[in-house]
Amino acid sequence: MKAKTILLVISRILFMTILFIIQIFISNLLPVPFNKINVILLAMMAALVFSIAKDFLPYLFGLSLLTELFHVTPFGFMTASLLVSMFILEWLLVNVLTNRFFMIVFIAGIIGVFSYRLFYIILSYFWRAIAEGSFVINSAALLGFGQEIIMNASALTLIYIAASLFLRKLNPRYVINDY
Amino acid sequence: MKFNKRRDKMYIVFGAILVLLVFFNQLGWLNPVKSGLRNIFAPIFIKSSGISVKVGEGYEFFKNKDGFFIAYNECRNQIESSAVESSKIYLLQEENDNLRATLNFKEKTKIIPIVSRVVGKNIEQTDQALIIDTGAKDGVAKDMPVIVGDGILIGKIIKVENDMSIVRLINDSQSKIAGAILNTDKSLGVVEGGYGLSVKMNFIPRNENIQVGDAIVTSGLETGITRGLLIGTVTAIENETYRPFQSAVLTPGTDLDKLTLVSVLRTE
Repeated sequence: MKAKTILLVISRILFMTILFIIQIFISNLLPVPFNKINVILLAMMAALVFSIAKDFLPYLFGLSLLTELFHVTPFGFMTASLLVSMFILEWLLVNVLTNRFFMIVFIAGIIGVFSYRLFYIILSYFWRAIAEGSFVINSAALLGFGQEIIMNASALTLIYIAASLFLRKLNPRYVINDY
Repeated sequence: MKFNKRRDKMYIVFGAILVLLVFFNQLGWLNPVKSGLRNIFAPIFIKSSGISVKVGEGYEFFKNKDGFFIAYNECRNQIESSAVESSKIYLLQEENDNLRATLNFKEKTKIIPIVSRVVGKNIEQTDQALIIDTGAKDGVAKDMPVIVGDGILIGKIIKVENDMSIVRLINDSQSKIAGAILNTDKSLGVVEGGYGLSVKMNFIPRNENIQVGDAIVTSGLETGITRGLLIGTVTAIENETYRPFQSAVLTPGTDLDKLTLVSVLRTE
C-alpha cells in the first residue's frame, strides 16, 4: 500500500513537471493568441470541474510556485491570484454552476480566468503604483486579457468534451459496472 | 450555501504557506532553492527558445519566398550604401576625436556592456518580457537599458534576481521610453508599446515635420538610458487635426522575437 502511494506521488510529480515543460513550450513556441493558454490555470480548473481537486491541488500549488521563478511579477503574486480564483470557482461549481453541460463548463472557464486575471491586476496595480509609479491598462492590454480568457475557457471546454466522450469508454471500471 | 470545511481549510493552509514563502523570499532564504530549480529548468527554456527562433525563421522563408529574396536584395543594396556611409562616419569620428582632444574633453560616464544569453520568454504571455541569464551578481540592476548588436535598444530591466533578470521589451504595453527622432526638428516624444502588436512614439508636437524612414533613438532624458541608442524607424505617421499631438508608428530596430544574445548597459 505504501509503495503504491509513493508511486502515485512520483507519477503526479512527473505529471506536473511535464505540465511545466508544456507551459514553457507554449509560451515560447506558439503564436498569438495560442501562447495565451495557461496550462497551470487550465489544469487547476479541470481538476475542479472533474472534482479531483483534492488529489491534485497540492501538486498544482507547487507547480504554480515553480512558475513564479520565471515570471515578471514579484514572487507570490501569481500563486495568490490562482488560489483566490480557484476558491471562487470551486464555490461557484458547488453552489451555482452545478450542471456539467459543456456551456456551463465554458462559463466556469471564463469566470475562473477572469477572476484570476482580475486579482492579478489588482495586486500588480498596487505593486507597480508603489514600486514603479505607474500602471497602465490600455486597450491593447485588455485585448490580450480577452484573448487569454477566450483561449483558456475554450481549451477547458474542449478538454471536458473530449474527456466526457472518451474517458468513460476507455475506463474498464465502467464496463464492469455496466455488465 | 454549501461550504466544504475541509477544502476551505486546505485553501487557508496553502495561503499561509504562500505568505511564509513570500516572507522567506524577502529575507533571501529561498535563493539557493530558486537558483537550483532555475538551473534545472533553464536548459529547457533555452532549447524551446532556440526552436522558436529557428521555426520563426523557417516559417518566414516558406511563407513568402519571393518576398524573402526581395528583402535579401534590399539588404544587399543597403549594405553597399552603408559601407559608403560608414567610411564617412569613420572620417567624422576621427575629426571629432581630434576636436575633443584639442578641447581636452573628458567622458564623464563609462558604459560597460554585460553580455547575457536569452533564456526564454516570460512564462505567462501577459507581458512582453525576456528572461536573461545575468543578474545582480553580474552587476545588473533595475532600469538598465538592454541592447542588441552595436546599440539597438530592445528594452529595460524590470526585475533582478541573483542569477537572472527580466527585460521588459519595448513592445510591451507597460513600456515607456523617452525618444527623439533624427529629423530636422529633433522631435521628442515617448515610445510606448502596444502589447506586442506595435510600437508607437506619442506626444510629438503637431507642427514638427516627421518623415517615414526617420530613425528614432533614445533621447537621453531618462535616467540610466544613454542618448543615441536606436529604437526603430518610422513606418507610419498619425496626425489627426483634432489631436494636440501627432504619433509615429515604428518598426523596432531588430526582430524582438528572435533574440538570443543581448547586452545590458551598465553606466559608471
